[in-house]
Amino acid sequence: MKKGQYYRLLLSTTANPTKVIAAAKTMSLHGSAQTEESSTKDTTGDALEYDVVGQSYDITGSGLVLTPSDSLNTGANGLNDMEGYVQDTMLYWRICLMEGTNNRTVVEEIAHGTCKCTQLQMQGQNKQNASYNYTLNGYGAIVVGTAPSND
Amino acid sequence: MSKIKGQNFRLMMAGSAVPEETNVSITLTGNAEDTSTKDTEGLFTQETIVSTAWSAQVDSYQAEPSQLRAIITTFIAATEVAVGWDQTTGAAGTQNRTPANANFKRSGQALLNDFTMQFDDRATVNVSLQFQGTGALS
Repeated sequence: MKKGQYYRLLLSTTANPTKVIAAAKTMSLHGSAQTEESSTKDTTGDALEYDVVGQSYDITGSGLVLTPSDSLNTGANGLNDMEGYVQDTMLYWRICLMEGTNNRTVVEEIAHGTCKCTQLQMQGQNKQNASYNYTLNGYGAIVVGTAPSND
Repeated sequence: MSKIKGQNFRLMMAGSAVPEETNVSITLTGNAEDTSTKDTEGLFTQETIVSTAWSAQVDSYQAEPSQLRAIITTFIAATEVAVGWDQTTGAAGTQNRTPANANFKRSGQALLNDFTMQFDDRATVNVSLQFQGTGALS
């Protein structure tokens, strides 16, 4: 059973992102469909019928704040990068199964898409590591990754 | 008294038990209207079920890339999938997945209207699926 740390978000302002979130702690992909009750007088019985009339998704997560000089920031998204994303700039994301040193080598992709960063919240609490939470709102459809030939 | 354990009460997708299932919740709803009128004596309402609906929510530890891609594919398709529930047998080697065709077994069509994949550090991957039933159960 694969554990959560092996699935990581890669994020960039350019397509096919390769930069993970440095020192990431959590990450969640959430999809939601807007349904509409669509039964009519032609529908037999009392049971309601529904149609999907809209879809949306978001990605949320959290990470620890590293010092800017920390080597783990190299080739990854740190707090400064995330702060720069909170604007109307298209972001490209991938969620991938990872392996290797610092879990930063892509094994295979689960899905990818585009999004906008709508919230970044930083926390500095006494006697705790400084951390931040982010929210990415999906822009357009989720694209399912291609399974490796041996999957 | 012969009781069924929670691990043997499972959600079925396309006739097969959801793999690595940890929890399932099924809700049947009767939408009621108060049909009391001025002709009704007293203060109490008189409820009439005018429509019925059902939904199901299941949590699982599905963590293989192929399983995760399949869930997203189902969501994107936005089409009905066969969903139901049944007792499963707990015989050795069956992973509690063999349908027992219990008398409370039900099946119907549903839309995957919500999913959450939680990937946390040092934790099992948790996948939560919510289905909105469409049409009657059989």
